[in-house]
Amino acid sequence: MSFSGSKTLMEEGDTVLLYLGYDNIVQLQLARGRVHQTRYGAIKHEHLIGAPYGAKVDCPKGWVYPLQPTAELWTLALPHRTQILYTPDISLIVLQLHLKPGAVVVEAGTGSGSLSHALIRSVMPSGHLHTFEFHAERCAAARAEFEQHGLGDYVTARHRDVCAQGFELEHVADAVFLDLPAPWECINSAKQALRQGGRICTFSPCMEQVQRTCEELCKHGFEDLSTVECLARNFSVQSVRMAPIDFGDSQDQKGDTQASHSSKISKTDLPSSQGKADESEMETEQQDSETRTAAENVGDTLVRAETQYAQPNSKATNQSGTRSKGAEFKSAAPPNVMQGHTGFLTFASLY
Amino acid sequence: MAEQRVIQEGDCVLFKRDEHSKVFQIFRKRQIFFEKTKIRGDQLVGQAYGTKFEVQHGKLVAAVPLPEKSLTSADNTGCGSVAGKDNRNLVASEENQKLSQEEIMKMKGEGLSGQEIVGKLVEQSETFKTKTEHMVEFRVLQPNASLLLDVYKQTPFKICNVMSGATVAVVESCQGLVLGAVMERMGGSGRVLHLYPGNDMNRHNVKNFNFTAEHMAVLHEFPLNKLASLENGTLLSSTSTGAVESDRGTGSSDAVSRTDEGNSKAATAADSDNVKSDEVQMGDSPEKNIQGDSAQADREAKKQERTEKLKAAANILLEKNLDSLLIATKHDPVPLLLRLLPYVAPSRCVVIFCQHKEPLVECYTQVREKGLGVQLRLSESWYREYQVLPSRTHPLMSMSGTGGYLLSFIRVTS
Repeated sequence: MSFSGSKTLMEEGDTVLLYLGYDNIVQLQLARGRVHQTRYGAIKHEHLIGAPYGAKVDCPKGWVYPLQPTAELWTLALPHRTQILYTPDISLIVLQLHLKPGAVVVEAGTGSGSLSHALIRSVMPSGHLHTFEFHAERCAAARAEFEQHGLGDYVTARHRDVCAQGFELEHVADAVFLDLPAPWECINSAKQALRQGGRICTFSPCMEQVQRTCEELCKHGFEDLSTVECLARNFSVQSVRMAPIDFGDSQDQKGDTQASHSSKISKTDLPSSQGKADESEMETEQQDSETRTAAENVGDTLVRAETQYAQPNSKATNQSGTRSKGAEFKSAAPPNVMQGHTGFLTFASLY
Repeated sequence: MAEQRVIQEGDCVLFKRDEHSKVFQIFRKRQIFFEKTKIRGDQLVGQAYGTKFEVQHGKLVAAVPLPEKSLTSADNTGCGSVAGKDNRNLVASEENQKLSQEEIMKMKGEGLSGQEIVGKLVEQSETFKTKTEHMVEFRVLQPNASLLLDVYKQTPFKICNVMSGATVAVVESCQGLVLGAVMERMGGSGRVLHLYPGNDMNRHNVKNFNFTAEHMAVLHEFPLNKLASLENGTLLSSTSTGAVESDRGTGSSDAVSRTDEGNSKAATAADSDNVKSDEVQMGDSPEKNIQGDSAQADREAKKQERTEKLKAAANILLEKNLDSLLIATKHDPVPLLLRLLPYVAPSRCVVIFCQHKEPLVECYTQVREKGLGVQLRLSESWYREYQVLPSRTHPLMSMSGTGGYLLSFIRVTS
């Protein structure tokens, strides 16, 4: 029941998300007698049952945090059966479909249920999600998941090819979301499903799909069309030190500079002791090693960080004044490579 | 939710014409001006939300929808309008206007109204018709978070696990926009705690959502300048004095707040709205004062009520079990975060919005170093809109430069 409301302690049967590192979250169903293997060693489920969510749990080779699932975290932990939608797009969809508790919303296809969980959260407890999937196994898996998460009352998952067979819903929906290869084939039945004043959203990776969808939307009298793209740039926070250059100035200044030549980026002044398998994700290693060593260093770093903040000018003036030791600062750097495209979202209203 | 609703007196109604939208509170006896058009309130009361109107000879007429439409218009929002012809034949020349200055003066002399003269001018103008379709046409809508964001031309923000039944604390400087958006998601169940700085409880946008009394009941408020006395226990032991001091803050009525406008650089539209609501309040107050003795008793009762409200809000904090903490303020987020974080339950989320990256970097570092949270994410949203037309599809020529920065994380304990 952990999706449908907040709770403090873990119970048997709960879906729990184990936080292992940044964007590295695994899910498990709590059952007595079971053991979960992580890279930090084994965790007995019994150990977790009755313990509070969000409190550190020690493992033989480190520690993890058990978290109560939210739609955002579930998106990171769910078993992928298809491509899924991620939080930036999901936020925009929920906002632009004008969803609120009590709304009735239609989704096709269900896919891995990433968006479904966010849709259900937005409309429950008085609203409902009708979700359609043309792949029988995926539909069954999603249905089982909704039940497991205590959301069964707020969602109806059906196995159907909506492009061919339609939604069979008559003017009941406040919003329709289409993530299909050919959404334009579905506009007519979407219109039938919508109430007056309803909103529609289609997600398509390719512009050609958007083009055809927009033409079809206009033909069917949809208005206020808007096609947008939304991405999130995640910044990595680092301590950066840039060494000064040697101009051959007087001797005593030179002595200072030689103490440190190379410019280096130390990921928040702590040694990254634990070699992690997650190669590409810079953040992962950083976060992991730090959360794990943070405790020992608390006293030290805390004081330094606080004084720094209390007198922001003193340090800065100092730096720009002499700068003999080079520049040292906290930087929030965008990634070298990031996701450049997910898909186009097209919204429209039916008045 | 979308049962056919009609506009009632006192409702806040969103007017939308192409890309322009604005919210007005509708009163029968008040006129509003939208896009240079004068509209009388009594023409709107009783009309269904979602209706499209045309203004014809100063009267509102429900527009007849066009039956068949195709994707050919120049702007990507209105389909099938006559607009969108190109302007290759548009030549600037005095020949375009067939009426001469003398003829216009003559009409004036004959007592024609300004509007009639303009009508004649348009009639006689060759270019006017070839330019664009020009008809005052707008739609009335029920405001919601998404449409109100449109009014303020803001980019979307993420709402972190706000769900019906949750307890959410909000610190914001968006005149109630964030607060309203959160309340909309709660649907009348759960609790929203508005933490506001001292005397500045500006949240007039909340009224624009037309919340019912039931939906408003989830809203509590607590002044942050009382946090210290709450923490050292003096607030609840001396509640009566506490209530008197907080008069200025909590005293403002729920939907319409009287605030120091100078403090916030509100959009001009927002400010003028605020002024209007002030006038309404002032108009009301003299009547209340006439009642004399009973007013005294009234005041006592109200004071009592305020004390109770403050207590209720304080108790939400004291539970230290907030499901979400949302910070979107012009104040320094670092001390706010560190001071308020202990009130958030473990495994719950915190989201901070800031126009600047630097304070969020500091928040990030502090949370990281003290081991207060996991899944820290500092991000900026990138949002781009497209014109979609046959063979003329491209991103809009201007886009939002930044949507501001978001720091989100999950609170944990060791």
